[in-house]
Amino acid sequence: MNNKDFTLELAKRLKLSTNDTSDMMAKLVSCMTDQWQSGNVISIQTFGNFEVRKKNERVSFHPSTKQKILIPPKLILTFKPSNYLKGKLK
Amino acid sequence: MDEKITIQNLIDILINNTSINKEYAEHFVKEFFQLIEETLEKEKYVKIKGFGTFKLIDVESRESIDVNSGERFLIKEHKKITFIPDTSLRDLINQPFAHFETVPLRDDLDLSNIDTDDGKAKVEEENEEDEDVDADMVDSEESVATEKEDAKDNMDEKRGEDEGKEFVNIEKNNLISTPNAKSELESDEKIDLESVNKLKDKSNAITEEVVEQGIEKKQENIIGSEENAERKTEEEIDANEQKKSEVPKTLTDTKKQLTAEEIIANELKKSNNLYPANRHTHKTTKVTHSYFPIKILKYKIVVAILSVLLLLSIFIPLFFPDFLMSAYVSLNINQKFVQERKGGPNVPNIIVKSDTALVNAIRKAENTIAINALLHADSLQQDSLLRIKNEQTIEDKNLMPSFKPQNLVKADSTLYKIVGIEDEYILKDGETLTSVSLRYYGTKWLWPYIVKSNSDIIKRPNLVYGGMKLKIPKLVRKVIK
Repeated sequence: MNNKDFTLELAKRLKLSTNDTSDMMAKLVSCMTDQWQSGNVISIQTFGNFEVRKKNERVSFHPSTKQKILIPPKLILTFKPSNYLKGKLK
Repeated sequence: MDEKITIQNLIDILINNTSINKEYAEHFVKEFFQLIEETLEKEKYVKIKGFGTFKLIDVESRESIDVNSGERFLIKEHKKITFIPDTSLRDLINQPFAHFETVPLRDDLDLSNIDTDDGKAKVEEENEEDEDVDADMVDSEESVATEKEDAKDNMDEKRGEDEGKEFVNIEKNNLISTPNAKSELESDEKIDLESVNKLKDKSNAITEEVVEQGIEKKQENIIGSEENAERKTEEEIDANEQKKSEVPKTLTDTKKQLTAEEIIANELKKSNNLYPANRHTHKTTKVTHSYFPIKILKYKIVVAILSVLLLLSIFIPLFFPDFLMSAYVSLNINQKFVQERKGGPNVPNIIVKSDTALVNAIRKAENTIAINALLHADSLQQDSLLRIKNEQTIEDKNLMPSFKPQNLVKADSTLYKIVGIEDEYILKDGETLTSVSLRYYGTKWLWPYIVKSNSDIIKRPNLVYGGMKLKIPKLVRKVIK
């Protein structure tokens, strides 16, 4: 399901216009982004945890040239599904 | 930081940020995640713009081995939920580290000693033990001991070189390789020699002999091990031995040398001089060990110097607002005379004229115009075709003062008379008399008149406060005889 279908479906459930729904979605995502940027973990009980993790720098190979490269450290948003969700989707 | 945000907190934040109905927000957020869950179940794929993609991936069954029992067993096929953040979100999250780039490394780079801190420590311990032994042997077998020590030195220097290489590679995108590292090595050796020389001055004759032997041996060792660096270091050593304490200094080297000297000075202070001979030889080797402390100390010193400069740059304008201006003017005057000399031999006629113009200008304290005149004169001197024009401009300049007196008054603020009061002005915070003068008369240098007409309020011209009511005098130029 792509973004458009998702918004339509959500609008139908909430009995809202599509525009309002997509606005709300954008606001929600930006709120969550703020939290992540300040290093917080968002934990939705039935759904899962969203956490920003630091990946350390590492030495790797360029796949085609086989050259050694140093990959810099990164901050990555990770999602860990809750046990409930895992069980449900099995 | 590291707080756990539950769905309830998230709803509260959303309400704060967007000022919407609480029930509505709650409903929305819950429905949002509920829908992701449901569609994931149904369609195995949800993409939300600005957020990311959730996918349900089938994992095939595979065999594995139980870690505890060592038995083989089958992992059943199952489904895995993955989340890939949107590129925009990923970039936002990674913003603190966004300036890092992937760096290609050189193939021959030895990475083995990045993670082998233990091995390194061991080697260093061994070195120190050996040195202790050496130090004991100094009295009896000086030459042998120093040889050993120098061997250690070389080993350590090489180690330092390797480490230096890696750091440089990581920091400067692999631009710098062996030659630089070698130069670092050279400078390290310089530090050594410098320190050795320092110590020579301080220690007694016996230690002098020991250390000198050390230098000779070191020289030999260097020749043996580092053929490329050989010649330079030889020269440096010669120079060092000739001058003993004064070494030719390049810009970068001076810093390092300074730090080395300081370290030695510190160490000298710390240590009690029970066994001067042993201790000093010891220290020469210690300097090489503290390759990184030297670097750190260097940075500290640089930071200290910078902060002092910063403070100066803040306080000089505060206390001497005219400092820069006067410096600038004096500089201009200097330039003037330099230009005069340069132009002299080529076009004597004009120079004489511009000279007279200059003298006039200086007498009347007309710096800016004089400079202009001279700049004109100079540029025109080079162009002999425009001589006539030049003469005209000089004449113009001679006439100029009477037209534009205000801009020119600097040192001489006695050119004016106070004729009544022009205006009243309430001083604001942070304003000075010069700034008021600049505002009313177009020049800083007329502030003494303001002081004069406000002598009842202003006790010290460099101490004025916001809220002062100043009378701004009306000035009329005196007639010059």
